[in-house]
Amino acid sequence: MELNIANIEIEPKRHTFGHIIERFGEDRPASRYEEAMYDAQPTESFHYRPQWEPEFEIYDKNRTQIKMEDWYDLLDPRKFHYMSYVSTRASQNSANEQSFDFVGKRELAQFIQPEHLNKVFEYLTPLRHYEYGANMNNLAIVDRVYGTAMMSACLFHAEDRLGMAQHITKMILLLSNNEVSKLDEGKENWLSSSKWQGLRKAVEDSFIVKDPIRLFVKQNVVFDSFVIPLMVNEFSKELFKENESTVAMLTEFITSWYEETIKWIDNVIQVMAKESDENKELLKTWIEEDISIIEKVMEDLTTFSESKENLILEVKESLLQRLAKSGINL
Amino acid sequence: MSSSVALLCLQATEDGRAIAQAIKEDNEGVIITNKPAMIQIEREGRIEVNASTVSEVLGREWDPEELQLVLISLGGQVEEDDEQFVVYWDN
Repeated sequence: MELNIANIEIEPKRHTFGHIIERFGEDRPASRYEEAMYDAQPTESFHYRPQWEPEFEIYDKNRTQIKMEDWYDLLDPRKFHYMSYVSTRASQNSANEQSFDFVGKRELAQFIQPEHLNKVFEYLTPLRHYEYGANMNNLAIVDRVYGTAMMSACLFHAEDRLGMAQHITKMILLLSNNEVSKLDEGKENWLSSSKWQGLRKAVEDSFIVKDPIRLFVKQNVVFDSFVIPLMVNEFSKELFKENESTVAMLTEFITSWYEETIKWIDNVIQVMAKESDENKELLKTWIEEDISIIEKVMEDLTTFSESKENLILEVKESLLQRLAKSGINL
Repeated sequence: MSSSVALLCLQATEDGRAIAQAIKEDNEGVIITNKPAMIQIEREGRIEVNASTVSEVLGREWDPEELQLVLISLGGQVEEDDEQFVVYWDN
Protein backbone atom coordinates (compact mmCIF):
# COMPACT_ATOMS: atom_id res chain seq x y z
CA MET A 1 0.00 0.00 0.00
CA GLU A 2 1.21 3.38 -0.78
CA LEU A 3 0.75 6.25 1.61
CA ASN A 4 0.52 9.71 0.18
CA ILE A 5 0.94 12.66 2.44
CA ALA A 6 -0.74 15.52 0.70
CA ASN A 7 0.04 19.09 1.47
CA ILE A 8 -2.76 21.61 1.55
CA GLU A 9 -2.38 25.24 2.30
CA ILE A 10 -5.17 26.90 4.23
CA GLU A 11 -5.66 30.52 3.32
CA PRO A 12 -6.77 32.51 6.38
CA LYS A 13 -10.07 34.29 5.79
CA ARG A 14 -8.42 37.55 6.64
CA HIS A 15 -5.02 38.65 7.89
CA THR A 16 -5.90 41.22 10.50
CA PHE A 17 -8.72 42.91 12.40
CA GLY A 18 -11.59 44.74 10.72
CA HIS A 19 -10.70 48.17 12.10
CA ILE A 20 -7.19 47.86 10.66
CA ILE A 21 -8.48 46.82 7.23
CA GLU A 22 -10.85 49.80 7.31
CA ARG A 23 -7.98 52.14 8.04
CA PHE A 24 -5.46 50.82 5.53
CA GLY A 25 -7.90 49.75 2.87
CA GLU A 26 -6.20 46.40 2.37
CA ASP A 27 -6.09 43.10 4.15
CA ARG A 28 -2.42 42.81 4.98
CA PRO A 29 -0.94 41.31 8.10
CA ALA A 30 -0.54 44.28 10.46
CA SER A 31 2.07 44.59 13.16
CA ARG A 32 0.97 43.96 16.75
CA TYR A 33 1.62 47.64 17.39
CA GLU A 34 -0.81 48.72 14.69
CA GLU A 35 -3.43 46.24 15.84
CA ALA A 36 -3.16 47.33 19.46
CA MET A 37 -3.03 51.04 18.73
CA TYR A 38 -5.39 52.14 16.00
CA ASP A 39 -8.93 53.12 16.96
CA ALA A 40 -8.87 51.16 20.18
CA GLN A 41 -10.53 53.98 22.08
CA PRO A 42 -14.33 54.15 22.36
CA THR A 43 -15.72 57.12 20.46
CA GLU A 44 -19.48 57.08 20.86
CA SER A 45 -22.52 56.04 22.90
CA PHE A 46 -21.24 57.14 26.29
CA HIS A 47 -23.84 57.04 29.04
CA TYR A 48 -23.15 60.42 30.59
CA ARG A 49 -20.43 62.99 30.97
CA PRO A 50 -17.93 62.52 33.80
CA GLN A 51 -19.12 64.15 37.00
CA TRP A 52 -15.64 65.48 37.68
CA GLU A 53 -15.61 67.53 34.46
CA PRO A 54 -19.10 67.72 32.98
CA GLU A 55 -18.03 70.21 30.33
CA PHE A 56 -16.21 67.39 28.49
CA GLU A 57 -17.09 63.95 27.22
CA ILE A 58 -15.18 61.15 28.92
CA TYR A 59 -12.82 61.02 25.94
CA ASP A 60 -12.71 64.50 24.50
CA LYS A 61 -10.41 66.13 21.96
CA ASN A 62 -11.19 69.56 23.42
CA ARG A 63 -9.27 68.98 26.63
CA THR A 64 -6.22 70.38 24.85
CA GLN A 65 -5.77 73.48 22.72
CA ILE A 66 -3.78 71.47 20.19
CA LYS A 67 -5.92 70.39 17.26
CA MET A 68 -5.32 67.18 15.35
CA GLU A 69 -7.29 65.81 12.44
CA ASP A 70 -6.35 62.31 13.52
CA TRP A 71 -4.94 61.75 17.01
CA TYR A 72 -3.69 58.36 15.88
CA ASP A 73 -1.00 60.13 13.82
CA LEU A 74 0.97 60.58 17.01
CA LEU A 75 2.62 57.20 16.78
CA ASP A 76 5.47 55.90 18.86
CA PRO A 77 8.46 55.17 16.58
CA ARG A 78 9.61 52.61 19.16
CA LYS A 79 6.39 50.67 18.42
CA PHE A 80 5.77 49.93 22.06
CA HIS A 81 2.78 47.80 22.84
CA TYR A 82 2.64 45.72 25.98
CA MET A 83 4.84 42.86 24.80
CA SER A 84 7.55 44.90 23.06
CA TYR A 85 7.70 47.39 25.93
CA VAL A 86 8.03 44.75 28.62
CA SER A 87 10.64 42.70 26.79
CA THR A 88 12.75 45.76 25.89
CA ARG A 89 12.79 47.00 29.46
CA ALA A 90 13.41 43.50 30.85
CA SER A 91 16.53 43.00 28.76
CA GLN A 92 17.79 46.51 29.58
CA ASN A 93 17.19 45.84 33.23
CA SER A 94 19.14 42.60 33.24
CA ALA A 95 22.07 44.34 31.55
CA ASN A 96 21.81 47.05 34.16
CA GLU A 97 21.75 44.52 36.99
CA GLN A 98 25.15 43.31 35.84
CA SER A 99 26.68 46.73 36.46
CA PHE A 100 25.07 46.84 39.88
CA ASP A 101 26.39 43.36 40.67
CA PHE A 102 29.81 44.36 39.40
CA VAL A 103 29.92 47.37 41.70
CA GLY A 104 28.41 45.44 44.61
CA LYS A 105 30.61 42.34 44.42
CA ARG A 106 33.85 44.27 44.17
CA GLU A 107 32.67 46.68 46.83
CA LEU A 108 33.60 49.56 44.58
CA ALA A 109 31.51 51.94 46.64
CA GLN A 110 34.07 51.93 49.43
CA PHE A 111 36.74 53.23 47.03
CA ILE A 112 34.78 56.36 46.30
CA GLN A 113 36.22 59.26 48.22
CA PRO A 114 33.89 60.51 50.97
CA GLU A 115 33.56 63.99 49.49
CA HIS A 116 32.48 62.52 46.14
CA LEU A 117 30.06 60.20 47.83
CA ASN A 118 28.51 63.10 49.69
CA LYS A 119 28.18 64.95 46.40
CA VAL A 120 26.27 62.00 44.96
CA PHE A 121 23.90 61.92 47.92
CA GLU A 122 23.44 65.67 47.72
CA TYR A 123 22.74 65.93 43.98
CA LEU A 124 21.19 62.60 43.01
CA THR A 125 18.99 61.51 45.91
CA PRO A 126 16.42 64.33 45.65
CA LEU A 127 15.93 63.47 41.97
CA ARG A 128 13.76 60.58 43.17
CA HIS A 129 11.09 63.15 43.92
CA TYR A 130 11.48 64.81 40.54
CA GLU A 131 10.97 61.44 38.85
CA TYR A 132 7.93 60.73 40.97
CA GLY A 133 6.51 64.08 39.90
CA ALA A 134 7.15 63.14 36.27
CA ASN A 135 5.31 59.88 36.92
CA MET A 136 2.27 61.74 38.25
CA ASN A 137 2.32 64.22 35.39
CA ASN A 138 2.40 61.49 32.77
CA LEU A 139 -0.44 59.66 34.45
CA ALA A 140 -2.40 62.93 34.34
CA ILE A 141 -1.69 63.08 30.59
CA VAL A 142 -2.95 59.50 30.21
CA ASP A 143 -6.15 60.52 32.01
CA ARG A 144 -6.92 63.41 29.74
CA VAL A 145 -5.29 62.99 26.34
CA TYR A 146 -7.17 61.73 23.30
CA GLY A 147 -6.34 58.59 21.31
CA THR A 148 -4.67 55.31 22.22
CA ALA A 149 -1.44 56.25 20.44
CA MET A 150 -0.64 58.98 22.99
CA MET A 151 -2.34 57.34 25.93
CA SER A 152 -0.44 54.10 25.84
CA ALA A 153 2.95 55.66 25.10
CA CYS A 154 2.48 58.11 27.99
CA LEU A 155 1.46 55.27 30.27
CA PHE A 156 4.64 53.38 29.42
CA HIS A 157 6.56 56.59 29.98
CA ALA A 158 4.89 57.09 33.37
CA GLU A 159 5.94 53.58 34.38
CA ASP A 160 9.45 54.34 33.17
CA ARG A 161 9.60 57.35 35.45
CA LEU A 162 8.55 55.31 38.45
CA GLY A 163 11.30 52.89 37.44
CA MET A 164 13.81 55.73 37.29
CA ALA A 165 12.88 56.80 40.83
CA GLN A 166 13.42 53.20 41.93
CA HIS A 167 16.66 53.05 40.01
CA ILE A 168 18.00 56.09 41.85
CA THR A 169 16.84 54.61 45.14
CA LYS A 170 18.68 51.35 44.40
CA MET A 171 21.80 53.28 43.48
CA ILE A 172 21.78 55.36 46.66
CA LEU A 173 21.25 52.27 48.79
CA LEU A 174 24.11 50.46 47.06
CA LEU A 175 26.46 53.39 47.53
CA SER A 176 25.48 54.01 51.14
CA ASN A 177 25.62 50.36 52.21
CA ASN A 178 21.82 50.29 52.61
CA GLU A 179 21.68 53.37 54.77
CA VAL A 180 17.97 54.24 54.52
CA SER A 181 18.53 57.55 56.29
CA LYS A 182 20.24 58.79 53.07
CA LEU A 183 16.85 58.63 51.36
CA ASP A 184 15.27 60.63 54.16
CA GLU A 185 18.03 63.20 53.90
CA GLY A 186 17.37 63.46 50.18
CA LYS A 187 13.69 64.10 50.82
CA GLU A 188 14.62 66.71 53.43
CA ASN A 189 16.84 68.40 50.81
CA TRP A 190 14.04 68.35 48.25
CA LEU A 191 11.70 69.93 50.81
CA SER A 192 13.95 72.55 52.34
CA SER A 193 17.41 72.92 50.82
CA SER A 194 17.47 76.24 48.99
CA LYS A 195 19.00 74.92 45.77
CA TRP A 196 16.18 72.43 45.20
CA GLN A 197 13.30 74.81 45.86
CA GLY A 198 13.21 76.23 42.34
CA LEU A 199 12.83 72.81 40.76
CA ARG A 200 10.35 71.73 43.40
CA LYS A 201 8.23 74.78 42.68
CA ALA A 202 8.42 74.19 38.94
CA VAL A 203 7.33 70.56 39.40
CA GLU A 204 4.56 71.35 41.86
CA ASP A 205 3.26 74.16 39.65
CA SER A 206 3.04 71.68 36.79
CA PHE A 207 0.65 69.47 38.79
CA ILE A 208 -2.23 71.86 38.21
CA VAL A 209 -1.82 72.06 34.41
CA LYS A 210 -4.97 70.54 32.94
CA ASP A 211 -4.31 70.64 29.21
CA PRO A 212 -2.62 67.27 28.59
CA ILE A 213 -0.43 68.40 25.69
CA ARG A 214 0.55 71.54 27.58
CA LEU A 215 1.69 69.24 30.37
CA PHE A 216 3.45 66.93 27.92
CA VAL A 217 5.45 69.87 26.60
CA LYS A 218 6.28 71.14 30.07
CA GLN A 219 7.36 67.88 31.66
CA ASN A 220 8.56 65.61 28.87
CA VAL A 221 9.86 68.08 26.33
CA VAL A 222 11.29 71.00 28.30
CA PHE A 223 11.90 70.11 31.96
CA ASP A 224 13.40 66.71 31.21
CA SER A 225 15.70 68.02 28.52
CA PHE A 226 17.38 70.19 31.16
CA VAL A 227 17.14 68.08 34.29
CA ILE A 228 18.19 64.68 32.96
CA PRO A 229 21.22 65.71 30.86
CA LEU A 230 22.49 68.10 33.53
CA MET A 231 21.82 66.23 36.74
CA VAL A 232 22.63 62.77 35.42
CA ASN A 233 24.97 63.00 32.41
CA GLU A 234 26.91 66.15 33.23
CA PHE A 235 27.02 65.35 36.91
CA SER A 236 28.61 61.95 36.33
CA LYS A 237 31.02 63.52 33.83
CA GLU A 238 32.05 65.94 36.54
CA LEU A 239 32.89 63.00 38.80
CA PHE A 240 34.73 61.39 35.89
CA LYS A 241 37.09 64.34 35.90
CA GLU A 242 38.01 63.37 39.45
CA ASN A 243 38.68 59.79 38.28
CA GLU A 244 35.43 58.61 39.72
CA SER A 245 33.68 56.31 37.25
CA THR A 246 31.41 54.14 39.41
CA VAL A 247 28.56 56.62 39.37
CA ALA A 248 28.70 56.95 35.58
CA MET A 249 28.41 53.16 35.37
CA LEU A 250 25.39 53.09 37.65
CA THR A 251 23.58 55.91 35.82
CA GLU A 252 24.25 54.55 32.32
CA PHE A 253 20.77 53.01 32.33
CA ILE A 254 19.15 56.44 32.67
CA THR A 255 21.35 57.93 29.94
CA SER A 256 20.56 55.28 27.34
CA TRP A 257 16.89 55.21 28.31
CA TYR A 258 16.73 58.95 27.76
CA GLU A 259 18.34 58.72 24.30
CA GLU A 260 15.69 56.20 23.30
CA THR A 261 12.84 58.21 24.81
CA ILE A 262 13.55 61.49 23.04
CA LYS A 263 13.00 59.75 19.69
CA TRP A 264 9.38 59.30 20.66
CA ILE A 265 9.00 62.75 22.18
CA ASP A 266 10.50 64.47 19.14
CA ASN A 267 8.25 62.50 16.83
CA VAL A 268 5.14 63.61 18.72
CA ILE A 269 6.22 67.26 18.55
CA GLN A 270 7.12 66.98 14.88
CA VAL A 271 3.75 65.52 13.90
CA MET A 272 1.83 68.12 15.90
CA ALA A 273 3.84 71.02 14.49
CA LYS A 274 3.39 69.71 10.95
CA GLU A 275 -0.38 69.50 11.38
CA SER A 276 -0.98 73.27 11.40
CA ASP A 277 0.61 76.66 11.93
CA GLU A 278 -1.70 77.26 14.89
CA ASN A 279 -0.28 74.16 16.61
CA LYS A 280 3.22 75.28 15.82
CA GLU A 281 2.69 78.73 17.32
CA LEU A 282 1.08 77.29 20.40
CA LEU A 283 3.92 74.83 20.95
CA LYS A 284 6.42 77.60 20.44
CA THR A 285 4.82 79.84 23.08
CA TRP A 286 4.58 76.98 25.55
CA ILE A 287 8.16 75.87 25.04
CA GLU A 288 9.53 79.39 25.38
CA GLU A 289 7.62 79.88 28.59
CA ASP A 290 8.88 76.61 30.08
CA ILE A 291 12.48 77.16 29.03
CA SER A 292 12.53 80.49 30.84
CA ILE A 293 11.29 78.76 34.01
CA ILE A 294 13.64 75.79 33.98
CA GLU A 295 16.71 77.68 32.82
CA LYS A 296 16.67 79.82 35.94
CA VAL A 297 16.01 76.84 38.17
CA MET A 298 18.99 74.93 36.84
CA GLU A 299 21.39 77.69 37.82
CA ASP A 300 20.82 76.85 41.48
CA LEU A 301 21.21 73.15 40.82
CA THR A 302 24.30 72.88 38.64
CA THR A 303 26.53 74.16 41.44
CA PHE A 304 28.52 70.92 41.16
CA SER A 305 30.29 72.37 38.14
CA GLU A 306 32.53 75.39 37.80
CA SER A 307 31.32 76.07 34.28
CA LYS A 308 27.62 75.84 35.00
CA GLU A 309 26.61 78.67 32.66
CA ASN A 310 28.22 76.82 29.78
CA LEU A 311 26.58 73.53 30.68
CA ILE A 312 23.13 75.07 30.79
CA LEU A 313 23.75 76.83 27.48
CA GLU A 314 24.90 73.60 25.84
CA VAL A 315 21.87 71.70 27.06
CA LYS A 316 19.56 74.47 25.90
CA GLU A 317 21.29 74.51 22.52
CA SER A 318 20.79 70.78 22.05
CA LEU A 319 17.09 71.13 22.91
CA LEU A 320 16.76 73.94 20.36
CA GLN A 321 18.44 71.77 17.74
CA ARG A 322 16.07 68.89 18.44
CA LEU A 323 13.10 71.25 18.16
CA ALA A 324 14.41 72.75 14.93
CA LYS A 325 14.53 69.25 13.45
CA SER A 326 10.90 68.84 14.48
CA GLY A 327 10.00 72.04 12.66
CA ILE A 328 9.93 74.44 15.60
CA ASN A 329 12.42 77.28 15.34
CA LEU A 330 12.84 79.34 18.45
CA MET B 1 12.03 32.72 -16.88
CA SER B 2 11.64 31.47 -13.35
CA SER B 3 15.38 31.28 -12.76
CA SER B 4 15.65 35.05 -12.96
CA VAL B 5 13.28 35.64 -10.06
CA ALA B 6 15.06 36.65 -6.88
CA LEU B 7 13.48 35.17 -3.77
CA LEU B 8 13.45 35.73 -0.02
CA CYS B 9 11.41 33.69 2.45
CA LEU B 10 11.11 35.24 5.89
CA GLN B 11 9.49 34.07 9.09
CA ALA B 12 6.28 35.97 9.72
CA THR B 13 7.44 37.55 12.97
CA GLU B 14 7.27 41.20 14.02
CA ASP B 15 10.76 41.76 12.61
CA GLY B 16 9.99 39.72 9.49
CA ARG B 17 6.88 41.77 8.76
CA ALA B 18 8.80 45.01 9.24
CA ILE B 19 11.49 43.85 6.80
CA ALA B 20 8.82 42.85 4.28
CA GLN B 21 7.25 46.28 4.67
CA ALA B 22 10.61 47.95 4.01
CA ILE B 23 11.21 45.76 0.96
CA LYS B 24 7.79 46.72 -0.36
CA GLU B 25 8.69 50.41 -0.08
CA ASP B 26 12.07 50.06 -1.78
CA ASN B 27 11.40 47.51 -4.53
CA GLU B 28 8.85 48.45 -7.10
CA GLY B 29 6.75 45.59 -8.40
CA VAL B 30 7.77 43.14 -5.71
CA ILE B 31 5.32 40.31 -5.04
CA ILE B 32 4.74 39.58 -1.37
CA THR B 33 2.72 36.51 -0.46
CA ASN B 34 1.70 35.84 3.11
CA LYS B 35 1.82 32.12 3.83
CA PRO B 36 1.13 30.54 7.19
CA ALA B 37 4.07 31.63 9.41
CA MET B 38 6.06 32.69 6.36
CA ILE B 39 6.36 35.67 4.06
CA GLN B 40 7.41 34.90 0.51
CA ILE B 41 9.00 37.77 -1.38
CA GLU B 42 9.67 37.58 -5.11
CA ARG B 43 10.87 40.04 -7.68
CA GLU B 44 12.39 39.72 -11.08
CA GLY B 45 16.15 40.10 -11.06
CA ARG B 46 16.81 41.77 -7.73
CA ILE B 47 15.56 42.40 -4.19
CA GLU B 48 17.16 45.09 -2.06
CA VAL B 49 16.86 45.27 1.71
CA ASN B 50 18.02 48.68 2.91
CA ALA B 51 19.04 48.99 6.55
CA SER B 52 17.87 52.61 6.72
CA THR B 53 14.35 51.76 5.58
CA VAL B 54 14.06 48.75 7.88
CA SER B 55 15.34 50.85 10.80
CA GLU B 56 12.66 53.40 10.10
CA VAL B 57 9.88 50.82 9.95
CA LEU B 58 11.14 49.04 13.06
CA GLY B 59 11.80 52.22 15.04
CA ARG B 60 15.29 51.10 16.05
CA GLU B 61 18.72 50.61 14.49
CA TRP B 62 18.74 47.50 12.34
CA ASP B 63 21.80 45.66 11.08
CA PRO B 64 21.56 43.68 7.80
CA GLU B 65 23.11 40.72 9.64
CA GLU B 66 19.91 40.50 11.67
CA LEU B 67 18.17 39.32 8.51
CA GLN B 68 19.64 35.87 9.18
CA LEU B 69 17.48 35.60 12.30
CA VAL B 70 14.28 35.49 10.26
CA LEU B 71 15.55 34.15 6.95
CA ILE B 72 14.12 30.77 5.90
CA SER B 73 15.36 30.55 2.36
CA LEU B 74 16.61 32.62 -0.51
CA GLY B 75 17.08 32.38 -4.25
CA GLY B 76 19.86 34.27 -6.00
CA GLN B 77 23.34 35.54 -5.42
CA VAL B 78 23.96 37.56 -2.30
CA GLU B 79 25.71 40.83 -1.74
CA GLU B 80 25.81 42.27 1.73
CA ASP B 81 27.41 45.25 3.43
CA ASP B 82 26.60 47.45 6.43
CA GLU B 83 23.82 49.32 4.65
CA GLN B 84 22.27 46.76 2.36
CA PHE B 85 21.43 43.13 1.76
CA VAL B 86 20.80 42.28 -1.90
CA VAL B 87 19.74 39.03 -3.61
CA TYR B 88 19.99 39.13 -7.39
CA TRP B 89 20.46 37.04 -10.51
CA ASP B 90 23.35 37.96 -12.76
CA ASN B 91 22.49 35.54 -15.56
